[in-house]
Amino acid sequence: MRREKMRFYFVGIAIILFSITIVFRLVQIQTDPVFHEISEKVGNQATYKPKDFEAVRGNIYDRWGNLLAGNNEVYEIGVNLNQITESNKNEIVNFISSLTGLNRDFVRTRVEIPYQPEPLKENYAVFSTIYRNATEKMVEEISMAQETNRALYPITWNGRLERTYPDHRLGANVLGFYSSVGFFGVEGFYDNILSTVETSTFISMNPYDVMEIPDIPHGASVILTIDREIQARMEEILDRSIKNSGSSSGTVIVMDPETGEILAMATTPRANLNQPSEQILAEYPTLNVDGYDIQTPFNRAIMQTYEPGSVFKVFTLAAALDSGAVTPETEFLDTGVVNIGGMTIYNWDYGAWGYQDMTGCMQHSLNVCLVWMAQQTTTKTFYEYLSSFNIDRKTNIDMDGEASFPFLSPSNPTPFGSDPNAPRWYEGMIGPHSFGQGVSVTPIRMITSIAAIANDGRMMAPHIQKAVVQDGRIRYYNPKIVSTPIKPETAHTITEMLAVSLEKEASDALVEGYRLAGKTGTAEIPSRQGYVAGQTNASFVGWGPVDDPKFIVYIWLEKPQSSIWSSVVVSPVFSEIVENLVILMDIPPDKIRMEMASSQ
Amino acid sequence: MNLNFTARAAQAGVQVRLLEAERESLIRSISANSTTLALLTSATNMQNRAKELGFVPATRADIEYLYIPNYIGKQPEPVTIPRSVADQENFRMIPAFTQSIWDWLYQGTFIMLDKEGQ
Repeated sequence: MRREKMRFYFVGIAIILFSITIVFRLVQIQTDPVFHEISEKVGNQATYKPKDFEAVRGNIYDRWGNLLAGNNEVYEIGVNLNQITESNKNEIVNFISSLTGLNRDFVRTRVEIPYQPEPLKENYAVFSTIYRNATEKMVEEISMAQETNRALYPITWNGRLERTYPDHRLGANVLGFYSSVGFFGVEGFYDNILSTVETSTFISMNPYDVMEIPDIPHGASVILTIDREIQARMEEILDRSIKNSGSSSGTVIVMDPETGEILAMATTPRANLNQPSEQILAEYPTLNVDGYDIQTPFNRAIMQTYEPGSVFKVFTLAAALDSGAVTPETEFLDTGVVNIGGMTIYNWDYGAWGYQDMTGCMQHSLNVCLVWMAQQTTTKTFYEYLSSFNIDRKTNIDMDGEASFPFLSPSNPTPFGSDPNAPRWYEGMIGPHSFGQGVSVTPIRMITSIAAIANDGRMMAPHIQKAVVQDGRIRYYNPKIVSTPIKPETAHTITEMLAVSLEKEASDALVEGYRLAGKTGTAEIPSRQGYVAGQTNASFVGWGPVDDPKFIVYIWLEKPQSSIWSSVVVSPVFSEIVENLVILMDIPPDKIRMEMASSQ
Repeated sequence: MNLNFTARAAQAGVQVRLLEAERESLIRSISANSTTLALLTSATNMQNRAKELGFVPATRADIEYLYIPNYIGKQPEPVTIPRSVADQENFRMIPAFTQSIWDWLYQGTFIMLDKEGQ
C-alpha cells in the first residue's frame, strides 16, 4: 500500500515538474529576446509580403475624346525562388527560354538567384523577374503547361500597365513618350499631373490582420486641343511635300487664332512611340551640321530656331502701319538696292520694281522696300513693335523643350557677351531684321505672333491643353491674351493687304471660294562661313477666311531641292492644307456663309 | 462561439484579399480594354477600313452645305474617369473583424473600468 502510494506521489511529482518546466519554458520564450527575435522573423516571413501598388497614369485624348495615349495590360513573368530545386531548375529554364525567346544562359542566371527572405538584407530576393512585357497569350500558355507539369509551378506572373500609343507615330512630336518619367511634349510637360506616386509596402497575409490597401488616385487625364483627323491629314500632306520637294525636314502648325488652340502640329521625324526609349531616341540621330554635333529635335515646331525670311515682313508692315509711318497707299520708288550700316541689300531677284504701294511691296516681297519701311518707322519704334510681338521671348507653350535664340536689338545689344568677335547689335541690323534675316525664331513663335494679326491685334497664348479631367471633374483651360501689339484696324488692314497681294499674284496658295491672307518666306541659311548658296528655308504663313479667321497655318520646309522658292514649293502645300481644313472644320465657302448669315 | 467568430473573421479576411486582387486586376483590365478599343479605332485603322469599304476622302466638290436651324455641330465624346476611393463613402470594417480575443478583452476591461469610474 505504501509502495503504491510512493508510486502515485512519484507520478504526481513528475507531472508537476513537467508542468512547471512547460510553464517556465513558456515564460522564457515570451521574455527571452533571442526567442522573441526568432519568432518575429519566422512570423514575418510567413505573414508579410512586399507589394508594389502601381499608379494608373492618366490618359491623353484629342479634342473629340479619341485616345492618343493610354495604358495596356502586360505581364511580368518570373519564378518564386524558394520553390526552385535542382530537379525542376532545368525544366523551368527550358520552358521560359522557349516561351519568351530569351537566351537560355540569361534565364538560368535569373532562376539561380539565391533565395533570401529577409527584407532588410541587401541581397533580399524571394521572386526573380525574368520577362517584362509578356502578353496574355504567354500567360495562358504557362497556365496550361502547369496543369500537366508540376515542375513548372514556381513560374508565376504579375499584371502591370504599360504606356501605349494607339496611333503609334501620329502626333509623336506633340505627345512625347513615357519611360519611368515623361519625356518631351505633353508627356514631359504634364508628367506631374498625369502620374501619381507609386507605393511599395509590406502587406500582411494573416487573414485576421486585414490592412487597407493604399489608396492611390489615378493620374489626371489631359484633353488636348489637337484634332486627330486634322493632325493625321497634316502629317500625310507634310510627308508627301517633303518627298516631292526633296526637303530635309518639315513642319506644319495649324492654330485657332481666336483662342491660341493648336489644332495640329506635324513635324519630321516622328518615332513609333510603342517601342523602348532607346529605340525611340535612335530615330532622332545626332547629325554633324556646320561642324557642330546637333541632335535631331524631337519636335522642330518648338525646339528648332531658324531664320524665317520674308514671312517676318508682316511684322515690319505691322509696325510701319500701326505707328502711322506709312499707309497702304504710300508710294515707294524701288531702285532694287539699298545701303545700310555698310551692308548692300538687294531684292530677291536683284531687280528694281519702280513705284510700288505698300501692298505691291508685300506682293512682290521687296527687301529694299521693307528696309525703307523699317527706317520710316524709326529704329526705336521698329524694335518696340518687335518686342510687343514677343519676338525676343519664348511662347511658353505647354510642351516640354521649347527653344529660343537671343535676339539682337537695341535693348539687348550683346547677348553673347562683350567679346569683340561675338555677334552684337548695330544700327545696320535693322536692314536684315526688316525682312527676317539675322533673327532666329521657332515656328511656334512665328505663328503665335502672326496670329495676333488674324485676331484683331490680340495675341493669344498658344496652348495644347484643352482640359484636365481629374476625380470625375473636368477643368477647362481659359484662353489668355498675351499682348495686344497692334490696333484692330491695323490688323484688318494687313489681312486685307495680304489677301489682295495673294489674289493679284494669282498665287498657288489660293483656294477657290475662300478669301485667304498669306505671305511667303524664302530665307538663306546661315553658316560659320556666311550664308550658304543654293540652300533655303521655305516658309508660308496664311489664315482664313479673311472676314472671320478660323485657322492660321504655318509651314516650313527645310532645304527644298525641287525649287528654292517658297512661292513654288510651299504655296501649293498651303492650298492643299486649306482644301482639307475647310472640310474637316466644316467651314462653308465665303458665299454660302454670307447667305447663311443673312438668312438667320 | 469564439471559434465560430474567429473562423468568420478569417474567412472575411481572405475574402477581402481576393476582392482587393480582383479590384486591381479589373482596374488594369478596364484600362487595357479602352486602349484596345482605341487601337481598333485609331486614325490609321479607321482610314484603312474606310478604304476597304469603298469610301474616298471628300473633296469640296462633293460637299453640299445646308442650313439647319439650331444645329450645334460635332460634339466631343464624354471623357470620364472613376472617382478616387478617397472621395467615395468610407467602408471600414467593424473592429470585431480585426481584433484578437486579447484585444477584445483588454479594450472591454478598460471600457468597463472607465464606466465604473464615472
